[in-house]
Amino acid sequence: MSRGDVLLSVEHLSKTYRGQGGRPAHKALDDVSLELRASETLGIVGESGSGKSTLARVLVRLTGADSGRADYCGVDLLRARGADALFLTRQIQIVFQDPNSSMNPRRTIRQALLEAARVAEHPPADIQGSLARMMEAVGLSREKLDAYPHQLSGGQRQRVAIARALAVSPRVVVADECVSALDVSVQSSILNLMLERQRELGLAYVFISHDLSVVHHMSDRMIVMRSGRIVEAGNPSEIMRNPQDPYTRELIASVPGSGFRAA
Amino acid sequence: MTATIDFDAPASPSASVAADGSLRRIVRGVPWPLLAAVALFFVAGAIGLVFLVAPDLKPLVFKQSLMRAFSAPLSRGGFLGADQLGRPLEWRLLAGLGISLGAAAAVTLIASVLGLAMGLLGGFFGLTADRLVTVVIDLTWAYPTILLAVVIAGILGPGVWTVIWALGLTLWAALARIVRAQVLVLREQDFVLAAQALGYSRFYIATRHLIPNLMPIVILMATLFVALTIIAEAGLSFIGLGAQSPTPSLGKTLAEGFSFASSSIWPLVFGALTMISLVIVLNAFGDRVRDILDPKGRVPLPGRRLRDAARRAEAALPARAVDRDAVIAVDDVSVAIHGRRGATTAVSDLSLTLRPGQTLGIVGESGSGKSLSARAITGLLPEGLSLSGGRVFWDGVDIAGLPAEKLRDRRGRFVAMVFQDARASLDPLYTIGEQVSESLAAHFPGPRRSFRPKVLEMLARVGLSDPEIFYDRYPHQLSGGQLQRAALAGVLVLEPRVLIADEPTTGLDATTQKKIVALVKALQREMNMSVIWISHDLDLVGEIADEIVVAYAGQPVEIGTVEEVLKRPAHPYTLGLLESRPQATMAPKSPLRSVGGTVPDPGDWPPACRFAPRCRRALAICGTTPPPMELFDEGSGRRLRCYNPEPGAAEAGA
Ligand SMILES: Nc1ncnc2c1ncn2[C@@H]1O[C@H](COP(=O)(O)OP(=O)(O)OP(=O)(O)O)[C@@H](O)[C@H]1O
Ligand code: SF4
Ligand SMILES: [Mg+2]
Repeated sequence: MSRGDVLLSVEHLSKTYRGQGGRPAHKALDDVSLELRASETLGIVGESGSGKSTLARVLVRLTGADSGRADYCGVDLLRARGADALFLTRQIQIVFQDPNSSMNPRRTIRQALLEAARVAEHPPADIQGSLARMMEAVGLSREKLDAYPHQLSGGQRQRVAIARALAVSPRVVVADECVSALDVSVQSSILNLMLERQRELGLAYVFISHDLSVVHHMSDRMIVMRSGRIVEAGNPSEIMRNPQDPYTRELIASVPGSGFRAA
Repeated sequence: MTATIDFDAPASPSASVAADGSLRRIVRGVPWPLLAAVALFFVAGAIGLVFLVAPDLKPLVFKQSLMRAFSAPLSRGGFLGADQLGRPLEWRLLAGLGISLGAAAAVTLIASVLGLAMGLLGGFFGLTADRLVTVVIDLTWAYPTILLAVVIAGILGPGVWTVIWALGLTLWAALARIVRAQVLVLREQDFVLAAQALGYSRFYIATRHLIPNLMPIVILMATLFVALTIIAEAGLSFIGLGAQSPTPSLGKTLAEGFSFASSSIWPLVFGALTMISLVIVLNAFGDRVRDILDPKGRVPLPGRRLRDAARRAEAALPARAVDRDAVIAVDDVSVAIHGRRGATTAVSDLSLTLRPGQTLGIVGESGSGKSLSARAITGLLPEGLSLSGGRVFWDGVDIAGLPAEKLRDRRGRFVAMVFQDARASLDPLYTIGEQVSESLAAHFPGPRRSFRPKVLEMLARVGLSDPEIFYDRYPHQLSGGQLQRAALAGVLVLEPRVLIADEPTTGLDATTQKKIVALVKALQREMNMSVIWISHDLDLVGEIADEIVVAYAGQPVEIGTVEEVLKRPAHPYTLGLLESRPQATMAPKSPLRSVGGTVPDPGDWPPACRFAPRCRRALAICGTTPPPMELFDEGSGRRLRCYNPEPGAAEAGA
């Protein structure tokens, strides 16, 4: 399979969270359709509650959908069981937002990575050596393998989360607000790391963020979501230059700092 | 959890303790008298367990003298005297201790295993299981232990085992409830989701990820169970459902001591003393074990010893010339953290002035001391931290000279603060209207009702249109943006001279953020207020501030107008922050510049320029002599702490 082939296709996906404790039902995904091609980055931008995280969770099968289809290389993602489910696990991994909660505070980095590496289709023969290489690939020293998450900084923890996702050798990584909790300086180093890994391994990303500048920078194609719907989709620079939807225009106008940046 | 400070210190000693969790490591953390008491109780408990579980082994295990303590009467008493059967009291107490502890161990085992299993089953194994578990928990919760004890006594006959089963089969419900609630939180944590995304089974996740994180609460409850058993055993023995004579349980000792108190008071006294000390020691030990098992270790309790000494030394220095027309003037302030190993400086060399109506932005990475600087300005430092030098003037008055009571009253009306987590700053139990009224009531006399018109007006001013409706809303009924508006109403209703906004829009959507920024700007104009806006986002600060303070490792490194600092950054750190953000003008997917490395913690600051290890432009002198804060640009008044400023800035500044 080469760059440009469709890996993942989602059609008319809808999901409603049932209301609990008097809260009204909430339509998190409303007729969402999209495609992800090999080695590309699909950026998804939208405010909180727009359904971005629900979509991410459906893609890694942490939650189901009410209707619609989702298909990965011919495997039905919504109904996969047994060998199919294992195949999907090995192909699609996720990196979460919060570096504070993405690692079990009571297990070392080594244990976390081992847990992931064991799931891979061909676990490396020299697994301890490969853990060290995984750490180096995300810019961490191997000494950190025996650290606990609280002994690492937020940026370092996020690097480990990326290493954990990559340990399975996936083809698709869903990144759900993976730099939103980080300082700008740390943010840029994580984004660089992701770009490098993509070039090297030919990964496809679903890159989700509420930060328009970041999504714009990372994506080959971009989707704007609001209230569970896709309101605009296309080439990122094209959308920035010529937004069609009023909400997209509002989003672009809200990016701070346009006034002081040298054009 | 987020409220506690994250001491990102590498490899703290208590963390390595948890690393292997072995008994030896646990023991090392505990003071020896406590350890000796625990050891004694453990031995006694083991003896008691043998007595309970395998009565036939008794003659093999115990010496003659101890055997007699359990059953056979003896002619003479021991050195504490004898009980009514003539057994030596000290032996009887030891045996009683054993029986009570043995029973406690059995109860704790039953209740902990059952509680943990049921809590996990309810919280993590699907809705049907949860419904079932909840019903069982509620039923268990509803019937009293004593009723069960009567039923079990009917089956087994009264005795220690009746006590054990009656308690074991009721106490678990308390643990199960807590465990279930915690599991509901834990299962939404990213690390649990990540394991699920890796395809691991629920059973695997429960044992590897959930149970280790539930252990602190299990241990806490277990120590509670032990204490409860010891006390309940006494109660049940007293009413005849527990241990029967001649079994010398502590409860029985007390019960008999009570009946025979007229002949000798000592069995009662020593029995009670033993029981009380047992409960105290167990509690203390349980706390220690729980702390030590937590890899984050204990947050040290800081003392306040050094604060006053530092303050006195400071007071002896002559005051430097400060701008007394400023709303706020800060002169060479430093802040110290008082920890176990003495004081560490967290903020230093902080000097700035805030003029009427002006907006000052403070930017820097996480941990660079922005929040602490702001809190030093309000004279409201967190527990364990103190102003270790310098002065803060409000309207030209040194706040160190104000008595505490006066300072508190002035603070609300002079300087107000809003924070990132607006939800946390509002009380979930009161309506928005009540909370805004509360601010007024703290400073003005009169019944709450009388403030209503003013509160409604304020709610309208912060953009909560339909103030009558929002007045009666509770915080959980508001969105993030509305909460921040409510928090603003709560502090601005006092019409303060200064508003300190500590990352009030971080975590909000870009569109909401823009609206809050616009709101603060509008209110600032209306009320002629000065604003200090803290953020890690230089671009955002550029939108709102007149002047920017760039902070690094507890120190301002560049102070200047927004124009100067953002268009022509002079400090390599400022430029680094600016370049880290992706720009629309950059080629998509091109590598971003990045500063590299992280902010050092207080205590780990490099000796000279604190930025030197991360600096692209570092010179030899940067590692040897601390750079002073100097005027960089006469015209705009920009100040800079750097030996080798960015060339772009120098050209433009000249
Ligand atoms: N109550 C406290 N006790 C001990 N240390 C503290 C306390 N509060 C802050 N610190 C330490 O002081 C330093 C500066 O903290 P501060 O909260 O001012 O940073 P900040 O710039 O506001 O960071 P952020 O962007 O994360 O809010 C940090 O290293 C922090 O760990
Ligand atoms: S003083 Fe030296 S090390 Fe420090 S910021 Fe300036 S050039 Fe860099
Ligand atoms: Mg802060």
